[in-house]
Amino acid sequence: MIGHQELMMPTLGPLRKTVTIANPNGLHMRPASAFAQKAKCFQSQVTVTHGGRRADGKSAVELIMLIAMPGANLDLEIHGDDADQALLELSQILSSAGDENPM
Amino acid sequence: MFEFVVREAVIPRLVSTDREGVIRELILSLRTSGHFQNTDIEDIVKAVMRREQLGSTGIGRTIAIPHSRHSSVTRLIGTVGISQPGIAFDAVDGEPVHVLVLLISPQDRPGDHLRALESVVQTLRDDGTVAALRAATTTDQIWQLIGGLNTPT
Repeated sequence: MIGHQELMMPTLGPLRKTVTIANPNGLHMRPASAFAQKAKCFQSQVTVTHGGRRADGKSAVELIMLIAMPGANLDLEIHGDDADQALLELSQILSSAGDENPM
Repeated sequence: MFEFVVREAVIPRLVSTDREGVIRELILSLRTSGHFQNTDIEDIVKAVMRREQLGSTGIGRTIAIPHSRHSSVTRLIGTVGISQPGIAFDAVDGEPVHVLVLLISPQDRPGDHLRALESVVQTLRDDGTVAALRAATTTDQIWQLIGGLNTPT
């Protein structure tokens, strides 16, 4: 059921943020899987771009294909009702060093 | 992807039927290529299994990419194995795994590991390639499917 208030909500544009990969091994399978898993918890559409490549943030495989090295800057674009919270939690995953032993 | 796959270590028909078994089978096969010592085998198996316990490397669509760093290798090496019956791998989509790509990286080469991972998922992106790998019966067929050229003998 869509409530009256929701129908009156103005359509917001996507939220954008650039986040630097803090993980010393870059965006490898573990952080990519953690990111995709978290992104799937949100309704919002999540797009990650890096070096001219675009990935659906809900796909670990697409994130792996970004080849994001340690220190790389990733552009996050999040569009949807829960974009605020998604941006907060997802950028934390990228800017955390992670538990890197083993990778 | 053929650049880092050790051709002699490719296994068109894996014999083992469980996760640790196929991982050990692939590592033993890589050992014969001379990239590490017999004494390293159990340590590498343990390292790859420790990584699996942190979260399955079964990425879905019947593919798994078990991997680890290990100090015994001086460059990134890998191998491919096909399981006909499929292996319970706790994969992201819950499906059994038929196509395995095992990677072992040196300790300090994160870029090489990222590029290898990308190369594997890029190569296996096409469902037709995955199906052809599952149907492959020889190393030659697998080698060709991962982009390598077969020299006529």
